[in-house]
Amino acid sequence: MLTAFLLLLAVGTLSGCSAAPAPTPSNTAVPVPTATAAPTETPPVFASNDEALAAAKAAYTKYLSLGDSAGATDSDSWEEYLSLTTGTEHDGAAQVGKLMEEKGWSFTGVTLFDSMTIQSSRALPDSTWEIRTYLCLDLSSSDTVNDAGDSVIKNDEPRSPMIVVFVTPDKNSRQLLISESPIWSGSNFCS
Amino acid sequence: MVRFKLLLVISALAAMALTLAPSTPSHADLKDCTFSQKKVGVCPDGPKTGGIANGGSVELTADSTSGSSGTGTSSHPRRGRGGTVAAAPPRVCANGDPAKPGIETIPCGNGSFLPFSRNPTAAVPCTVCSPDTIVRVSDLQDFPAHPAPTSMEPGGWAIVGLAANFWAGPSAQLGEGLLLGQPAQVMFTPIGYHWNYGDGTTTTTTAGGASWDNLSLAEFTTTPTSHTYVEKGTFTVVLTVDYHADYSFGDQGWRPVEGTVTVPSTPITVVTARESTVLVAEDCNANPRGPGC
Repeated sequence: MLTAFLLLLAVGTLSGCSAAPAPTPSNTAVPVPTATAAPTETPPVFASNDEALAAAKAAYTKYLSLGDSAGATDSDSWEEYLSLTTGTEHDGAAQVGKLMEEKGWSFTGVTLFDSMTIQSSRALPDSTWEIRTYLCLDLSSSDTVNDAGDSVIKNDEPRSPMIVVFVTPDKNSRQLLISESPIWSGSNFCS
Repeated sequence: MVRFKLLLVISALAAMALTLAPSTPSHADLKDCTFSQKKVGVCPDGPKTGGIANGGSVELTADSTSGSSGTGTSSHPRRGRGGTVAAAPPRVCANGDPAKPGIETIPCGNGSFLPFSRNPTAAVPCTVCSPDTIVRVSDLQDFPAHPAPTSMEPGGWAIVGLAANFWAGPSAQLGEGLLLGQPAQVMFTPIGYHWNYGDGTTTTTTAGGASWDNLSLAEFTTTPTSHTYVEKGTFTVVLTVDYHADYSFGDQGWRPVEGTVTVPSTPITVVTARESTVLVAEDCNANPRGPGC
């Protein structure tokens, strides 16, 4: 009878144990059970390549869209556009803004991309996250025009391959900044 | 009345001892071209970019505005293309093996997916670029293969008699540099993972493994790369990865390098402990100083 009672008690309280809150660090001399430690590397900001790809697509879509519509280099919209970039991408974008203002050029239409593919998605030594992608930039629906509205650029190949690199600004962030667009000098896989 | 509660207590917990191996392929010689630079035609030569519609002076103007941007277009050799546009090169994709594990591929335009390739072809004819050139592993001094990052769970410790899971991070690598004096790319593809679990047990796997979560397995489940320790103690786990290498001079396609490159990863220290079941008077979470806790 007593055995049965104890058994019942034990079973009844086991579930209570498992539902117990996670232990808090304490200075007790006796070890307390802790939840399984996280893997020793930095927990991935993007758990899978699919997740990274979705985030990169969203970030680049926004970047192109803001780039198409950004106003003069002293406008808020320009600042917002530049704020999506860092490093050499930032320098490159800023140069273009200056050049276009000097020349009186502007963008028309929409800049598109497709076929984005993840090359790598990983934590950097400083615990920020880097995603490298390939994509096809599609300039067929956009143009660069001068004050008179005439096209100033001749694009024989409206679809061109690019490598685009994204980084998170700090280690727990999921925000992606465009950091560089290294030249793709291989054959054009987009045409 | 004293209420008894059972708690599973792991008798020892270990500090995490793993560090992520630095893995930074060389991209130092790359130049950049943002989408907006493409749109205004100031990018350095590529095989596919358009030219300036009315004369080439804009290219120089843009270069002169690059100022302090160290990796901008200013250091790139100018080709003096003027208003003409070089004929697009034939559409040839790098012909590596897209079935290799860990190699990222790109859409090649005709429905196939082939490995990443760039065209660092020198202006002068390349004497070693012949398909007959045999490149050996010993020629790859300029292309260090980086150690694969390794991870384990639980982090840094294991329970005697239960599986601890180990896995290697993505380790396929692409490097750029001089090979036999010519600009080239070398691609390292992992072909074998040798696990030395530090207790005299070794395993060789063809895949790098993955976390329980990624494998959709319960914790402490046996995986192809897991190991079950039978002794208490501290063990050093070393992963050694065998890489096959391929090289490419420009767009001439990937060719295999003779030999195998073996790279040890940063060791992981694992402390193993026995689990035991103890009877305690209260919930040790609520009262760590309770009897039995």
